[in-house]
Amino acid sequence: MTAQNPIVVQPLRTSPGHKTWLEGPAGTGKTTTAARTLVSLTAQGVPAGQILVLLPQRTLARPYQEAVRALPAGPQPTILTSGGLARRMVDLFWPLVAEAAGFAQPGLPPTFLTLETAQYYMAAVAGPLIDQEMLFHSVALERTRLYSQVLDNLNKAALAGFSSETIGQRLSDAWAGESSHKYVYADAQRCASLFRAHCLAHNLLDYSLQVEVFRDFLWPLPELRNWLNARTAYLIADNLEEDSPFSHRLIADWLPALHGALLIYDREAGYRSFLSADPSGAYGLRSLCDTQLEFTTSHVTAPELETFGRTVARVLGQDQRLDRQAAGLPPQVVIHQDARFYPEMMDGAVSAVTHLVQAGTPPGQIAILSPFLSDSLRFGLTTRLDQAGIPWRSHRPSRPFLAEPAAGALLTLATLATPALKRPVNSDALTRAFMQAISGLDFSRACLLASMCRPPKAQDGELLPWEMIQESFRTRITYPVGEKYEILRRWLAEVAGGEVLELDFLLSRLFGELLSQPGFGFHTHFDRGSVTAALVESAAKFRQALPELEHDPLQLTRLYFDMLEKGLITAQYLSNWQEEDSDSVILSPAFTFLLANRPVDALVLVDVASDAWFRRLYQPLTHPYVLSANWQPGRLWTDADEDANNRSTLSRLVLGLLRRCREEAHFLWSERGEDGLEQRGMLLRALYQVQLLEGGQHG
Amino acid sequence: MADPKPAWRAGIRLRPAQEEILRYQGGRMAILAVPGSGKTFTLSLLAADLLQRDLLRPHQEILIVTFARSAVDNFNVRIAGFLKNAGRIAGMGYRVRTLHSLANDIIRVRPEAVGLPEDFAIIDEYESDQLKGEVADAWLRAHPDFFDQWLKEDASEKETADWKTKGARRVVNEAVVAAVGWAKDHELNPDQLEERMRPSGYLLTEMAADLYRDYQRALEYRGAVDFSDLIRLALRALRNDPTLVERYQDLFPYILEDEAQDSTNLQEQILSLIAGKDGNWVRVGDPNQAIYASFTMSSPEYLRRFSSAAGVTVRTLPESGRSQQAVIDLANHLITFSLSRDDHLNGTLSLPLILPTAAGDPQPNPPADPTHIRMALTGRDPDSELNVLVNSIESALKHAKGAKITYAVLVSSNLKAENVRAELEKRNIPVVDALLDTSTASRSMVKAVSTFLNWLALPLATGHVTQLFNEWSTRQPDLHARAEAVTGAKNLLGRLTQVEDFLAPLPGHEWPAQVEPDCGEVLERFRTLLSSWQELALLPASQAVLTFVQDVFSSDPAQLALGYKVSKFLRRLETEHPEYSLRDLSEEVKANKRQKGSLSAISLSDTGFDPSLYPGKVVICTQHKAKGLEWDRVYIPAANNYDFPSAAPYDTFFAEGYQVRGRLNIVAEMLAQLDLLLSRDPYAGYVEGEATQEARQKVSQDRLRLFYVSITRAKRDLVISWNTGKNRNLVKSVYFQHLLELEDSFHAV
Repeated sequence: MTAQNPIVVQPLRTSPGHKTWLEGPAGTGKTTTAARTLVSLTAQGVPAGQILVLLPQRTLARPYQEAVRALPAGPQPTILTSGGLARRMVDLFWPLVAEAAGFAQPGLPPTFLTLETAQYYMAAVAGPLIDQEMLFHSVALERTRLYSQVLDNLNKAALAGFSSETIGQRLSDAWAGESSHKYVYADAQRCASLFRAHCLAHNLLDYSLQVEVFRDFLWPLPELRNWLNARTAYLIADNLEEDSPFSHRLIADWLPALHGALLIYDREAGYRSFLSADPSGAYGLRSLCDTQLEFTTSHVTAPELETFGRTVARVLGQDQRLDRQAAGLPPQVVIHQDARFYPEMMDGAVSAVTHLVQAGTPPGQIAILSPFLSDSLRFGLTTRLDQAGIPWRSHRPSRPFLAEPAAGALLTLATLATPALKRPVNSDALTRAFMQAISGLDFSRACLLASMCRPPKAQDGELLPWEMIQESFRTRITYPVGEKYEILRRWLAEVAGGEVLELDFLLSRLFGELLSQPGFGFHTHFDRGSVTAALVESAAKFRQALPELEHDPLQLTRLYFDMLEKGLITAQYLSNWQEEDSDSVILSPAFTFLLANRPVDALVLVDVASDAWFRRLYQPLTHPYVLSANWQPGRLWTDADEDANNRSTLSRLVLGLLRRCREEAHFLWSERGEDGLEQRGMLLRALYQVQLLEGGQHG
Repeated sequence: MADPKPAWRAGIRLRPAQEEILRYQGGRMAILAVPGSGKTFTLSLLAADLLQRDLLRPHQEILIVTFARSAVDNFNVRIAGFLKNAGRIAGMGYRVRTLHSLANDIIRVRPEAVGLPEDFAIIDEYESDQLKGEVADAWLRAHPDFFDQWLKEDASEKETADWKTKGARRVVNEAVVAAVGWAKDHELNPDQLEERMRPSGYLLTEMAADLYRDYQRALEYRGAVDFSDLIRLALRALRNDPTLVERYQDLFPYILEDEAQDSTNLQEQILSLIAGKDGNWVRVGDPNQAIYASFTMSSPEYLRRFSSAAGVTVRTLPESGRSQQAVIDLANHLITFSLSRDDHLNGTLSLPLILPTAAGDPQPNPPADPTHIRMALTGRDPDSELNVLVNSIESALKHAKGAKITYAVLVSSNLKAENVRAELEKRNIPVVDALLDTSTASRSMVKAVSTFLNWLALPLATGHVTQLFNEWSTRQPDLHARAEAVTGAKNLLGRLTQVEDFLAPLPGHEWPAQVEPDCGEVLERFRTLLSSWQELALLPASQAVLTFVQDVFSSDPAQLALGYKVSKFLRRLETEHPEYSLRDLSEEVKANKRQKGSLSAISLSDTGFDPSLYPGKVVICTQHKAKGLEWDRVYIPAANNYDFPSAAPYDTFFAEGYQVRGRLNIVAEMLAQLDLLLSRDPYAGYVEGEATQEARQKVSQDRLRLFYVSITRAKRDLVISWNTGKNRNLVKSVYFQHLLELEDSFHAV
């Protein structure tokens, strides 16, 4: 059954026991419909507290959170990921399963690990083995990435549903490269098994163990099923194509017991395949529903953009039937092809944005996207946007905290507030901290202040009171700055004089009492606030994962700083940009933009000639496809697989982006990339081919 | 009846030989071309023609492989021009690659398939040589007496000392280059080489295995590969995965290979895999210009074998409009000389002879005039030869009277080039050194970056601001004509006392308070830029530097590439030493340069060199780097039996130590022993000295071709001289001597 647009303004009608399947491309109103259905369900008498919304990741929750806000007070629907559900259930039913699941201390409570704390334990367990036996000796990879890939293997095995003991064999069997590389997989297996054994011995549950314990030991228990069924009447599962086989099996199993369900599937998506997303598995749920609906009309994309996206996808798919009637470039697509060098491309991008704004597009409806957003590219673009007087904001996925200037400033100040750490602070770091902490302080005066506020050559210790700084320098630094400096200094001195605080608590206070106040640098900077929140959350979770150090905040902080320096801790908690509604141009990696699912009027894609649009991340110890549910163990992963995969990734990406674009898409690149070398990646070549179709030069 | 000419080629006049080539319909074709016959032009035209014939599917491309990076741009520009003529989109349907960049394309898709990390670095030849030098020094320190056994019995004390210090060092330096090249060409890794070597007991192979292992370890430590690795690994990736070969066969239905005379075993294997058994593969080259064979794994024999294989169509491009008749006569005389020999020089140069272009050709030869060819009958000592050469240049420049004449001095080594440069500079003669390895590009980049980092570390130091101003202003083309304003601005900056008044002035404290408008405009531009750079202090230095480089060197690809290299170098330091301050990083950049580390390499010759841009200046370069280029007036000094030996018994060779017994070429002996390890011939055995003799012959063949290449660089004037060496024991090169027979073709001096 095909529904043409009747539902966007209306919720789905539901009847008891009815399961509905809803599919369609992005922009056809599926999520809007689901959110309204949620509201209407409660109006029909379904208790809000008995509605469960299941999503593949937290950033997609926003439309549902907004819908929930409209509901009357009382129990609210639960919005969760399947991993989150597993964790809650394991926590709740721990005594029932701890022993059966093989935990050595079933009488003691479990400790749930985050990615960071799992890395911490992985480093502790596998690190010495790697050193002693020279595991992975031919792999040039930072230790942190090595750990995260071993953990990732465990997660993939858990989500796909195969034994974690077969990871190494699977990878090895699929390897078509140098046979001398195969030992790496055996090493990865050893680390994974060792880590698993350690977790079982110490009641530690990383993500994979949370999933496995839930799936293998809890889910079969009637007690749990009864408990869940009593509390869940209706299930809304959105973006199923981005979810894992674990979620799909859970839903398939659960569906008969539910009063009603709405399952939503985005066609031609599945961007999270490297995170175990399984679009084809998700599609298997369709036949389990009573009604199958399909939305086809986009409420976002101009039809010409959709057609263009499809043509690019067909070119990428090497569709032999392409002919000149396949349509070339519509007027909504602008290809800028005159830049030779990278800076010219940045000029071109900002000039395109300027024209858009001048023609009436609100800045908040423009997104500049690149495959990666390096500091340098971000700086180049934002400087140009500033010069053009166009407001902007940027969003980047998780990166090491140390790469976030705001985190650097917070940690420098936290170090000054905790002299017992005995960590030196160099004047470069101090300059950067002052620049960010004190509103309106420029670089040169921040330097001057940093060089004058401590006794010569002192790297730690107290900051000098403002009055003790030489008069002539105070004049140069300026008194308004001095006033804020003095407030900051006193605050730090006061904290330093007291007992050592837990780092998350210290950072919260630093932000809340000082940096977020008017006159201080985090007051108006949304980005810095997000980084603070992420850092606080990270430090808190770290503390919670090490209960044995609960009473030793100094040691905890030391450990946390060590982990930061080793890059083991990343700002992965950066909050969703949708929380910010300012009217400013968005700068983001394309992938982050896609997953945020927020359409704009105009897209400006830069660095189109780069290979990074389709090339998967370098992961020598893991493999997203070989460790997926659909992989047939024993097959070789060849270049043909790689190429087909690259093409389909890129097709989906381009389609996904264009479906989140209402009016205009601009494509920009430079002949020479950021590294000065010639570049002509697959996306660029596809665009050329589409141009050729238009020119009618090829049949 | 001739084929009708397609409309898009209407304005292009072709020679019959070129027309013949454009009739190519597919399959294997060899094109043997003479110097200046328009190889690039013809091959580019063939590429455009194939595209025009609509033989390719939309995703397919013609692959053009060339030897030097400098040729890539040349091909791109020419093909784009032809396509524009034909009303097509330039840049589409073809791909111009050096073999290294093609190998890089193949590997980059999945570096892990050949055991490389994602961000693997590629070190260039210069850097690789530096690394090999370090490996050699370390090895020699550990084996100080290793070479004693080769010392001649009657060696004097001085000879012994010389051998132990300089001689042994030279040998081990050459040995590491040769051993690494040999092992990689034979696709052996260090373990495999050691395995092969076990029963042999040859001392020199043990050294080779050590050196190879140490070098590969040093590469691994840097997460890097060298150029030979790229090719070796690309071939392995292709061999490991048939679907990869299929994809490339589908992607590149036509391969046009330029400079095929410099092909190597591995290059031939890669291209032959991609071309497929019956694929379309056109190989163009001039076996007479194969000048790398004695010290690399390249050989003109690959092209020769290809052109005589069954099923290969052979075409020639014998006409050249480059040189005047007297130059052509000299070059052809060398070919007949080679063909008339009955020793190892026979066939070193081969037919076709160079023909001048026919009347009415769009590229007519310069008028014939033997008086423009000058050859020195007598040899001088090296200093006075140089002196005479510089006098001649001085006089030629004086008599040029503003005519746009190009000049080159072609020498055998960078060291000799430095001597010539020094002498020319002494006489204030404008010199172009862009083709020399010690070019100024990397020096100036490193200086600019460390100046920038110094400013970021201490922005309040007035000196840092003025230094940064210098770095910026000298690279702004529009400021070159405003020297007064720039000097004014610089002088003013020198008097700045409180940098913040310039960078972020408070109301009423703007600096400078009063200034000339022109100078003020320059200062304001700089201030705007500097203000924007303040925020860079918050970024990691590696990223800050990238922005700085893009702002300052915005349109120079070589400099952008070098800037990227500096940024990567900094990123590594930041990861390894998070505690480093900006000043530490700046010091590291400078120290790396000083110690000739990875940042000292990159030559502008990589990005194309056009001699016609430097009329009235003297280009100094090595004879090897001169290939593919042409000048109105060319100087070839040192045409003696040291620079151009013929393997006569009285010739001396650089690779042989005079202190060594039997004047053995130890590196050649090492390679012979390595070859034996792989030999399946049970009767093959090692005879000391045979390899030395063979190496002499190989070098002399290379030098004959190098002489031929050098001569054919000249369009109108050619000056050849020779010297007797510092020991006064050198004689005229046999090749040069032979040219002197052509009495009517030159003017003796």
